[in-house]
Amino acid sequence: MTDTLKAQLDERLEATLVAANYRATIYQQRENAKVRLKQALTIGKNGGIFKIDQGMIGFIQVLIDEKKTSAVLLDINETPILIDDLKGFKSQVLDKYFQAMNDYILDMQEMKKARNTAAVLGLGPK
Amino acid sequence: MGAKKTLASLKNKGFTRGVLLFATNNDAVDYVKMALLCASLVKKHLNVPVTLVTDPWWNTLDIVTKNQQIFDSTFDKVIVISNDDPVNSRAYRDTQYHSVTADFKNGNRLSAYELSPYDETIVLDVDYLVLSDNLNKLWGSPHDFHISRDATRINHQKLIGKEYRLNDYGIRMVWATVLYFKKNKFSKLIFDMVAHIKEHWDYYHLVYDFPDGLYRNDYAFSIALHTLGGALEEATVPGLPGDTIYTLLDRDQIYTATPSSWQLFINDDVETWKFTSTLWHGIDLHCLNKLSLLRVTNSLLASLHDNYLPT
Repeated sequence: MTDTLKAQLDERLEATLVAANYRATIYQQRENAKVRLKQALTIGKNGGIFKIDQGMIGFIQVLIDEKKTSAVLLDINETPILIDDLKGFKSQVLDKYFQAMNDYILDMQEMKKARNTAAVLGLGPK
Repeated sequence: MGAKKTLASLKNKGFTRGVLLFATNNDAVDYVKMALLCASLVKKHLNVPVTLVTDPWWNTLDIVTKNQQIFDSTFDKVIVISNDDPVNSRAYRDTQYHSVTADFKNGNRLSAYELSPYDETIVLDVDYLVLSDNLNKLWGSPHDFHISRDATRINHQKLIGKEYRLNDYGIRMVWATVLYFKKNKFSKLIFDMVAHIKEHWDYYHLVYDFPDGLYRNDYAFSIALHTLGGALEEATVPGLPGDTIYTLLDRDQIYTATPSSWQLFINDDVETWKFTSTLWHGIDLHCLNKLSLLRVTNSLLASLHDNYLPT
């Protein structure tokens, strides 16, 4: 192998390893952001813990449309919890949903801007 | 719900809710200092009262004499007990390159039921760092007892093997790192069962065939809940709001830390010389590398308390 070819291979290998480090780091940060999202999309109400998702929001809206003011919902532990103010609960759920999603998109945008490992970790210029 | 609102609303309802910590220092680890950090983070993120259970000589410790005012404002109550437990000896690893062996006493966790001044209590290991308000979702639970059944590494891989079952064919393990209980008959039954298991540790070691004979609260609670659940695999009690405890292993490292952001080094499973970095915030963290945690504790406490004097 000529010295030039060896140098080119070394260069390519180094670039690959740099890219691999970047991808591994960004993967970690994405997973962290997903956990924060999951945490932010839970709400405690009357002792129950509820996971907020589109299905839950839609179901509460259906109950409200059906003129229900209270209902028993199952929480993440499948414990029945009486929600006595469905409109108030919907408002709390939507607030949490929007806040969580806004934080999540900001996290993702920050990661998208960071083009190297140091930047992903907030250690250097993007 | 905001942390301040939580405290105000529970005072109105006449319930007492709070966090209970246990700290017994040894030659290698300043558990009391870690308890101060843990309690400061609880105050910041959960805003509930904190009680410390510790040794009779705790107030002669350097960190306490220098920072008495901070201790007074951070801990609502300090309970002093003589820890007559037999001494366990264990290795504290600090990455794969360094470890120290020291005596430690962890057997007083089962007195949490008797000692807790609260109607609803969250018991935390002092190396559990509260970095979110997630645990506030537990207050007012319709269940009497919560404990985590899963632990996940900071690289998002579930901990398996002896951190998942007591042995290869054994029962599922629970993590006594974080537990919630109400003062009632059922919770008392659990703690009484744990005390019984501790008293007959050798017998239960034989029956459940867990690794080494060292007393471990996780095993004792696992066996107690398994027994109380009629020896079924299904969970006797529900888990925590976040499903899992994110864990920094003793071969991982804390590189830098501020109260709002942590840079952590994750040790590679295969290429053990290699570390991947991760930026951590907003997710509670169980820090098994206590020596690494202690290296950043002074700077964290200084950020959390203006008048903190390092030791």
